[in-house]
Amino acid sequence: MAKILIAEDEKALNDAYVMILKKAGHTVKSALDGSEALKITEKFEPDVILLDLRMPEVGGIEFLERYNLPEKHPKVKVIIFSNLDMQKEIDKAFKLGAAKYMLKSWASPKELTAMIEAQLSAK
Amino acid sequence: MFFVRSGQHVRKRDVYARPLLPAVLVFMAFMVIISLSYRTARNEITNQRRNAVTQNAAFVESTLYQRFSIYEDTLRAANGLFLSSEQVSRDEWTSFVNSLKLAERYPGIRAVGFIDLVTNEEKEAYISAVQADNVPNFTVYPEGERPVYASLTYVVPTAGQDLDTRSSAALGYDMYTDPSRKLAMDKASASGEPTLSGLVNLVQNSESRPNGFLFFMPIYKQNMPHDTDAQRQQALDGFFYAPFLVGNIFDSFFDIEEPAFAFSIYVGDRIQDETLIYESNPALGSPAFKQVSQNTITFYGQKWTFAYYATENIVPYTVRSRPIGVIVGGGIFSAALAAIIYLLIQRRTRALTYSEQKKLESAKDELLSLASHQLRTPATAVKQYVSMVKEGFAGELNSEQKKLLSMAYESNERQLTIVDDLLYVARIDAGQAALRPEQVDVNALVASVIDDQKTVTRSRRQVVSFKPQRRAIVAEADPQYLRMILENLLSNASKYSHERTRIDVSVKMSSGNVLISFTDHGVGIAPEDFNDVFLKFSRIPNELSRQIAGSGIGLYLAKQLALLHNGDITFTSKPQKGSTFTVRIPVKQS
Repeated sequence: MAKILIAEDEKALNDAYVMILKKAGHTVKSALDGSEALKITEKFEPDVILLDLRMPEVGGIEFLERYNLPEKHPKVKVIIFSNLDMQKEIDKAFKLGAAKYMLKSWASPKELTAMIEAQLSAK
Repeated sequence: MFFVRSGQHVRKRDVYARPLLPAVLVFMAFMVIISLSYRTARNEITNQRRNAVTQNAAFVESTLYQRFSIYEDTLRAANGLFLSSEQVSRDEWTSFVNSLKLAERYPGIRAVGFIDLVTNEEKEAYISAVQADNVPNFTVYPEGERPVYASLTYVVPTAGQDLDTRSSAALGYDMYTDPSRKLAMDKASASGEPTLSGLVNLVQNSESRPNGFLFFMPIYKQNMPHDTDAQRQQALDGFFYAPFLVGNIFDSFFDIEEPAFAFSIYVGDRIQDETLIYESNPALGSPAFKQVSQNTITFYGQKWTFAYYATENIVPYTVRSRPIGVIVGGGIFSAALAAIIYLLIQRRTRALTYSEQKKLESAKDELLSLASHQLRTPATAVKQYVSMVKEGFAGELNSEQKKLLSMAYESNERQLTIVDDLLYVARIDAGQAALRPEQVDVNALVASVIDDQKTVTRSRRQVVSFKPQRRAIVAEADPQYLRMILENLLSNASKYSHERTRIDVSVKMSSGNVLISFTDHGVGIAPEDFNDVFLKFSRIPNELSRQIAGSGIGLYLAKQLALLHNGDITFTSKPQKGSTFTVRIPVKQS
C-alpha cells in the first residue's frame, strides 16, 4: 500500500486519521505541526501528504514553501485537508504544488480513503 | 456577525459628492481673483482714457494761450504804431493791418479795428472829421445822445474775406451801447490788459444766436500816467479790437493727431449750446464720443469752459479687451481647474473607497473563514469518531446501536451544513463567493450526493430513483458549490415528503444547459407561498416543517449558487401532490 504523512494539529483528528488510514492498510506517519512534519520528511518520503493549513509554528503554506514540492518532491501528492476555506490560502497552496483541496468536515472515513486511493491511482 | 451587509454601495455617493466642495471653493476663489483683476483692468481703461484726454487737453489749452498771446502781440504792435505817431491816418492804419497778413499769420482774426472814445460835445466835430477822411456817409450809431461814444473809427478786415463790407458797415457803431462789449471794454481799461468779451452779435449778424466775441486792448493818452485804476480811467483814449466769428475759428490751431479725442469750448463756466464757440470735430455729437472731463479757465478776463471727449479708441484695443479677456480666459481657466480638481479628488476618493472596501471585505471574509474553521473542527472530530465506531473500528455493532449512531452522525452533519451555509450566504451577500469551475461529471456527482444522503432517505423509507443516461454529461461548474446545490434540493425533497414516498432525480441536456430535477411526492407548496420559497431565512409552514430542523437558508443559498454559475433554480408545485425543483447550469461558463 502507500506511505502517508499526516500534518494535523488537532490531536483528536490526527489520531482518527491515523487509525482510519492504518486500517486501510497504509503506512502512516503523523505530525502535529509543520516543523515536525518537515523533520519527518527528512527520513521519510511519503506518497501522499494530508496537510492542514492552520497549524501552530509552521502552517501548511510555510510547510509547502520549505518542502519545495515541484523541485525536490515532484512525485509526492499533497492534499490540502483543512477546515479553513480561505480562497487566498488555497490558491497559494495550489501555486506551491498542492494536488487537491478538501474541506475536512466534508470527508467521512470512507470518503477520505477513497480520495487517497484516487490520488494514488492518478499517478 | 455573518450577516453584516456589505458596504459596497454605501460610499458611491461620496465619490461624486466629496470632490464637489473643494472644486467649488477653488472655482469661487479664482472667480474672486478674476473679478478683482477685472476691476483692475476696467480701472486701467479709465485711467488710460483720462491720461490720454488730460494730455490732449493740456495741449489744447497751451496752444490756445500761445495763439492768443500772438494776437495780443498784434494789438500791442498797433499800440506801438499809435505811440510813435501823433495822428494815425486811415491809410496808415490800413497799410499797417495789411502788413500783418492776418489771413495767413493770424487765422481766426476777422479784422483789426480802432475804437475812438468821443464825448457828446466832441461828437459833431468827430463825425465831420471822419466824413472828411474819405467816409462820406459816416455817422455814429445807434442814434441818441450819450455822454461818451465808443465809436469804431478804423476797421480793416482780413484780406480776401467777404466780411469786408460788413466790417465797413460797422464803422461808427457805438460799442458802449452793447452791455457785453462795454463790460469787456471797462474791464480792459481798468486792468490795462487785453480782454475778451463774452458772446456778442457781430454787426449784421444774420444768425439767431450771438455769433462772435471780441478782443479789446485799451489805449491810453501818451502824456498821462496810467499806473492805477483811477489814472487809467483818466488817461483812456480808446481801444484796439479784433473780432472773432464763432465756428471753425481754431481749426488751424490744433494739430491733434488723436482722432479719438475731441473737445469743445464754451464761453462762460457752463456747457450749453447757446455759448458754444468751437467744436474740434463735427462728429462730436455722435454717441461714440463721451465726455471725459471739463475745465473752466479765465482767459483774458473771460471765463471759458473746455469740454473734453473721447471715443473708446483712445485706449488701445489690447487694453480695452483686457477685462473681457480676464473674464472669459479666467472663467475658462477656473472652470477647467475646478474640473481637474474634481476629477482628481474623485479618482482618489474612488481609489480610497475601493481599497477601503476591499480591505474591509477581505478582513470580514477572513473573520468568517476563521470562525467557520473553529466551528467545524470539533464537529469534524465527532464525524470521524462516530463514523469509525459505526464502521466497526471498535467491534461489530447491532442494528439498534448503528441506528442511534446514525442519528448522532446526521445531527452532527446538519450542524456542519449550517456552518457551511452560513459562511456561503455571508460570502454571497458580500459578493465574495468566487467560482472555481472544473469539468464536472454531473451524473457521478448526482449519484454521490444521493449516496451520501442514503442514511437519511433510508431512515424515512424513501426511495430515490436516479437512472443516469449512458452518455456522460459534463458541465463546467464549481464542484463544491454544485454539490451544495444538489444536497440542498435532495434534502428538501426528502424533508418535505412523507415516509415511504419516491423521489425522482433526472439529469438531462437542453440547449447548452444541464437540467437536474428533483421531483418529490410530498406536501407541495401553496401558490400564495411561491414568492417566499427562495427568501433568506424563510420557512414555509406546513404539516412537516414543525418536525424538521432547518435554518431556512438552504434554498436561498442554492439559488444564489446557481445564479453564480449563470444558471438558475425553478420549481413547479401543487399542494399535497408534490414539487419539482430544477437546477439549470450552463455547460460552459463564459
